[in-house]
Amino acid sequence: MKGVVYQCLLASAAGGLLSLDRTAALQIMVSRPLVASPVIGYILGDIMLGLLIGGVLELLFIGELPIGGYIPPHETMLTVVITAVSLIGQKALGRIDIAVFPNWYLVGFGSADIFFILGFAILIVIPMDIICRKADAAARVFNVRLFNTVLVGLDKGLIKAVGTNNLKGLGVFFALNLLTIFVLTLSGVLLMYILLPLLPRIVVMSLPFAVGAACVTGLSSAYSALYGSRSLTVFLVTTFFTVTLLAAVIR
Amino acid sequence: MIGRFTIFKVFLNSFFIQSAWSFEKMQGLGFASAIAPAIKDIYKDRDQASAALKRHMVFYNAHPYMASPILGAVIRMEEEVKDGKLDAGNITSFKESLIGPYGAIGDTFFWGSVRPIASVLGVLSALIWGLWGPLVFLVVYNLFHIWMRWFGLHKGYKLGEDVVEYIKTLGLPEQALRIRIIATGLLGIMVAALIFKLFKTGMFGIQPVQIYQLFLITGFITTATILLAILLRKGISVSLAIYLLFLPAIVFLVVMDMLQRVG
Repeated sequence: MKGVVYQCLLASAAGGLLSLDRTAALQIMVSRPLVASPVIGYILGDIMLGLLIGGVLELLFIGELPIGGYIPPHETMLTVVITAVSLIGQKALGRIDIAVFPNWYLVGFGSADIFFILGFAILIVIPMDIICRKADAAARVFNVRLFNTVLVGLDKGLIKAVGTNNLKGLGVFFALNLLTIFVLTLSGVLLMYILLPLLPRIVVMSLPFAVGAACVTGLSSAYSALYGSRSLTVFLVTTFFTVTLLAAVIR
Repeated sequence: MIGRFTIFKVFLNSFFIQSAWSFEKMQGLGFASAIAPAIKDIYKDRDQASAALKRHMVFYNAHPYMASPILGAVIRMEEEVKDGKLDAGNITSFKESLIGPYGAIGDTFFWGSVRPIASVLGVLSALIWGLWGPLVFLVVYNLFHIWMRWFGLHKGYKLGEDVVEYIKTLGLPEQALRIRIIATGLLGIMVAALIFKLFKTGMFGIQPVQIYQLFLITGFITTATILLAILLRKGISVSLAIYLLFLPAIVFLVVMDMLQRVG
């Protein structure tokens, strides 16, 4: 349990820092799932799984735009929590006993027990986005105080108050991100530890399909985000042309 | 004239323009903080500098990268205000007039076009070269991003209010459309690469693969992608879409299990 809490803390600290890039600082896109997930994967010991999760979630959240005051789904927190819950949960649970599954089923998923864990993580973490958004909104509400503090400071000629209070905003975002990620990751791991062994066999068997569902939704989300007058033609032509080309080259 | 180092400090501060983002004033504090080094350089007198900064402590919100040309132009205008060539009220109206248009241009170009193409290229690269994928994504995206922050700030400072004309000549909305079409093509290539990768790892349980099976799977995945995209465009969330796709899987498995028991 001590190890689980320590790993949750590690993931939260890294996630809190990465989340800053989303709104508060830089915006160089290290907060995007494709980058954030491998980073968390590296910290928790499986960078390639991080890359796999990152690729799927990157496409899933490609079309969510932070326009004006609208807060889109918090892709960074969700990515960090899904990656951390999968990796910490996998270590905590050990391998799933695949011997209970029928042969026809094992053709596809064989020994890849991480797909069960990942599927479960996706299903339980995605609804947690409501909490992530609330935490983000709380930081944005709190920051008005910093603005008012600067106004008072400027009346007294305190020019430095502008820079220091602006940077305090970073601290507010970081603290809330870290706390939210820690609580959600720990809850996710506990849920997995308690719930997964209790689930009926048929539900456990279906969990890898959640990963497939996320992949297909990701492709659709990307296509939908890029939708325009010639999208359908361009998409179909390039897909089938590349498939034909690859098939010809392989043969 | 302000020094080069001061411009560089404004450039660095522009990366923190949203640090204290609030619902009420949005980037107001961030903009004042970004421009502060230039204000301190222009107005040596503390009271004048405080008054100038207070002018910027108002509601402000645009795309974070598109704030750079505005920052540059406003610095030039502040110099003119100090020299008595311009009224301070012009700065406020200049900023206000660009909030909407530059927000829209930035959202369409950076969030709606550059980020998707960088994402698709990144995922495609990850499929082919593994860990190089995230690096490709970051390099492609930040080429555009840093260009706008750096050159936008410098052009703004050089041209003053005329930077608006310069940004117009870049034709960012038209470029955005072109980038989106290229990104859609890359998405198609990515789908094909993904299908091959899945076949290679034996995910479909078919070895060796026949050509018709390849086209059948491709047809199935592209059709599912397009149909689900229609639903997403109609307003259903990605979370709901995942659950909608997942539930039939349980039904399918229950049926298969029952059939096996009967058999």
